Amino acid sequence: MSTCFTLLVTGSPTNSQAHLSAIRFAKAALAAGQKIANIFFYQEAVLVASEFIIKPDDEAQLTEEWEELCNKNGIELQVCIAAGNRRGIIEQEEANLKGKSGASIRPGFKVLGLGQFAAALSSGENKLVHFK
Amino acid sequence: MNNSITTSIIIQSPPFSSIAGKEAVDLALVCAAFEQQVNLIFSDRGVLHLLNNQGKEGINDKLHDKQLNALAFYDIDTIYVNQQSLKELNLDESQLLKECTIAPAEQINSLVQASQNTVTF
Repeated sequence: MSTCFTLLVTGSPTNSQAHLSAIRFAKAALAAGQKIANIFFYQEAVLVASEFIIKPDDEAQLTEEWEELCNKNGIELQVCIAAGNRRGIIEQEEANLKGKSGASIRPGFKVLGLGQFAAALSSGENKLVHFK
Repeated sequence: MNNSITTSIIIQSPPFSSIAGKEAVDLALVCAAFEQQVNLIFSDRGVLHLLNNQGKEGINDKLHDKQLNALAFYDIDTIYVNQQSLKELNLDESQLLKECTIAPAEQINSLVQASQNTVTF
């Protein structure tokens, strides 16, 4: 029987190895026939959802790697709204509401409340793995 | 209260230098609201969050000790403090917020092992 994982990523995309490790883990788990229910970004990890990251071409493009992996496998990339907003990751609706010039989140990422992450834990069906 | 799912939230990072502690408590509150049994555990320099004589005069930001004192209202009944960490920092119970339970590392170990989910901040 396959195991179903929830991945929690809290490490910074620029200041930690969390995203590289989580992407490797996700690929390995899927290749081994396991399932990934959802991927939740909290704390500094939310910065990976920024539309405005520009990195040298020969470095790991974490945002695109997450999007490609999750598109291919039908996994949702979930960003905590409170953690995102305080770090400048905002949706169009939020931008309009607060008089900001525009959205800063990549369309491939979805903004969710912490409650939706807690609900996933409450189901008791998924194994939580934390990358920080 | 649905006690079938237990989540341990361990706070190891100190206050003020980052908002990790605040974001940890936010997660703890939400997990409790979703009827999980929450173990909120302070360890290492994380125990400094619980000092009862902190003032905000020197930091120009708000403290979250009020939020910590109100945890019981949100169904987080026990705040665990790692006894060894307290000893290493030369602190004792009288210096902490009154809601804390001091526990030896072995007890904290068993609490975490018996949890379905653990998140460290």
